[in-house]
Amino acid sequence: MRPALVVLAGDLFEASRPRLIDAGCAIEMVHAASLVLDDLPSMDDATLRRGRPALHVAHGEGNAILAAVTLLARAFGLLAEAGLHARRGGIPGSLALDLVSRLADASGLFGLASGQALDLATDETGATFDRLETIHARKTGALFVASAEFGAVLGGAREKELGAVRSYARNVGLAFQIVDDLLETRGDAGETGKSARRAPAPTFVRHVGEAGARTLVAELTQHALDSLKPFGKRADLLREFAAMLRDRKK
Amino acid sequence: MISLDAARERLRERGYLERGVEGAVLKGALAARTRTRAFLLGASTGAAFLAGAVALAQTVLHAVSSALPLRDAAVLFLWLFAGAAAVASLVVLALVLLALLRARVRGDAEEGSTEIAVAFGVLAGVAGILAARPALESAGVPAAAAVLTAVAFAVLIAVRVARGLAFTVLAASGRLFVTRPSRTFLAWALAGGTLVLVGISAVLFRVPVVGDAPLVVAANGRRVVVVGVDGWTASLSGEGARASYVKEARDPAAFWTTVATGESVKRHGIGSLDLVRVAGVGAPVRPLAGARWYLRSVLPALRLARRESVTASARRVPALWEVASRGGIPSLTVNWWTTYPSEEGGGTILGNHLFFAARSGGALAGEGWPADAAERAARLAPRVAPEPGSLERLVADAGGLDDFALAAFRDAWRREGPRLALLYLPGPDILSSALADPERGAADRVALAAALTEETAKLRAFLLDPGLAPAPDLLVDVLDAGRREEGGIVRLSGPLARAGAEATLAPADLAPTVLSVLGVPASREIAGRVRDDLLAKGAVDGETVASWGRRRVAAQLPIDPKEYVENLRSLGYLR
Repeated sequence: MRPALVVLAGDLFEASRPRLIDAGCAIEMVHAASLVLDDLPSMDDATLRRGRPALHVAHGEGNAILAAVTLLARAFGLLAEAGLHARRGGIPGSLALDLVSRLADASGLFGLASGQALDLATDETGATFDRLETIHARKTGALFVASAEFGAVLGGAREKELGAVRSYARNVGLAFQIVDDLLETRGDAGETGKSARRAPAPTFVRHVGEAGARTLVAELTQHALDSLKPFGKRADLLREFAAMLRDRKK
Repeated sequence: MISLDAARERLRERGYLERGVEGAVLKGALAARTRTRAFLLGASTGAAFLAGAVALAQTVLHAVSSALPLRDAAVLFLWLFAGAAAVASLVVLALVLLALLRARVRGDAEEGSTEIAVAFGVLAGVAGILAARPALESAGVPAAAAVLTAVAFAVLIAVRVARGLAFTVLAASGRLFVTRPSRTFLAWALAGGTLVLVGISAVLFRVPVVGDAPLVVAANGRRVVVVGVDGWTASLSGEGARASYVKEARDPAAFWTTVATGESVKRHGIGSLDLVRVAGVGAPVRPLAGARWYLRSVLPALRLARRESVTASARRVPALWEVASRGGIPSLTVNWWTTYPSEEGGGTILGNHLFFAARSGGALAGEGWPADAAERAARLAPRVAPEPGSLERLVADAGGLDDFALAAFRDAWRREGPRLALLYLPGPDILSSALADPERGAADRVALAAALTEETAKLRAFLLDPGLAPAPDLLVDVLDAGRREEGGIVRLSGPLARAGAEATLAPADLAPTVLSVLGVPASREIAGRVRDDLLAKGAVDGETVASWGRRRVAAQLPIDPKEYVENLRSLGYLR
């Protein structure tokens, strides 16, 4: 999903497809690493992921940690190599550094790692609406935003265009997470493909109810669509993407 | 559970559904690639919002206070925005530092943005009320509503800027572990803040009882004369009562208007000689708290505005002669401060421009009321004057003003026999102020000292024996030490003065005391009180009335003619 967002955002600015694929791969590797780490017994202690045994269940905790580290290293390595091979269809050096910097933020202090740290530190009583938003903004939203920015940056988007794409991704990212909450509330592990032994974190549904959560999803998605107005029909695929995330059943 | 509206609001505060002030502040800041850039973007957007809100509120305050048309208000907004932007930048800088400090002191920064916003909101609310107060005192209901709405809007924006900015700083500092306080706490904080603001408002605002009903005056046929001598530092013997006073304001227009109205400077509205004419704004503007220094000092220094002298139209409360006129008591006012433009409804008025207008042979419109009285008095003015800017001119003006005022006063007194008369004599003050100027040479000082001695002797002779027929029942000499001094003395003589009485008084006490002697009930809403301890027994009956009524500020504030302003400058009143 995140690589798709990289490509769709890049297409909006007619970015080079090979560069988008490199960037999308880097994003997906970071995302995959985060899933592996989240599932560990010291974190969410999940046994099922995407309908299959979690990595540490299938191959052991040590291998899972090493796999995650390898994915992270490979993600940054991929971007660095693309920068080194700019003349052969890679990414120009300064752009590659820009992407590395954005990915570092999205996966570290301002993204996945700090979001997970907050998640672990938050019990049911501490999970206020704002804390929940902060956790989601970092665990989910940061990589969504980075994905859209990757595409836009590679396409040479101007500051204002970058802002519009960022606004789109930020609102879609939160809508995506609230849909996740809704599915978890109503579905079982078979449908969501996830199961965790750790007590599940409170969700937006608990704070605003199912109807409220659905309304927020609709409003966030609509706001995301509004952000695309300056691009006209060129952004139709991104619109469909947002609608798809809103309407997904699993 | 929280309501959907609350959820929306919180999401907006955190950069989703980008609307509102916080959304605008956060949008740029959250997008920044570096922490410094995030601070700068958040701070600059916040400062722009804050400046806009402050400038808007100040524009409404000034537009109401100075009765500006819409176009002038729009231009004034631009000028005020420029000044407000500088102030807002400093305020925003303080907010950023406060937020950083807050994040450092308490690592988890719980409730940080709300704490800062509530504290800033209370400060902004108090400042808003203080700034709005002068405008509210003279405003009608629609204007007061506009003022309050503008101030409330500015406070709301200020709170949102503070909250958005604090959130930005906390987010950009990497220490964002913010959970907002419960809605209950916030509700209590807001309710408490509102109660504090209402309490402060109740203390600050004294809602006057307005009544323009005809005054019921005890018909006693008495005559009272008030003589104001400015710059009097000599001794003056004689029978009667004496009282010393300390001035609220040294500015002569402000002080002598307090004497004439019985009100404080804030209430009567003549706080200064100056209005300000801002570039591009057709009507003159009365500077108010919050923008006073900017409009009166900064813009004129940049040659983007110039200062003008204030006129009677800016006075918000009735003067002695107007109250007397409402009570059917004929009055005469000669050369008193801010009596231009002279209008119907205050007896005979020979305004404070008349001398200059008559000497230059110019039009006499607004220089006195009724017109024939002004024309008759104008014939008493000299037709020639020494070279402008010279010492001779200054000495001639000082003495000439007094001579003209005395001659016009005597002539009108004899013709009209008013029951209340006021006369203002500025000569000694003009001369003593020039004498105190350190830039004057020795020869000038000798000439000025001689002129001052001569002028004092002339006025002493008048004060000791005015030679008025019919003689007044009470003669009140207000002997002020001048614009450079803190106070003066009041001497009361005649059959209604209490012989040998000595006291201190407030200058505002003079108006109700004089009117009470004439049988006018004292107003309970004004600052001054009737001083029967200075009067003979039975001179006043102690009657009071809720109000003497109010005086609306004119739709347009006319400024003094340029020639008069130049004269004020040459006499040292305007810088």
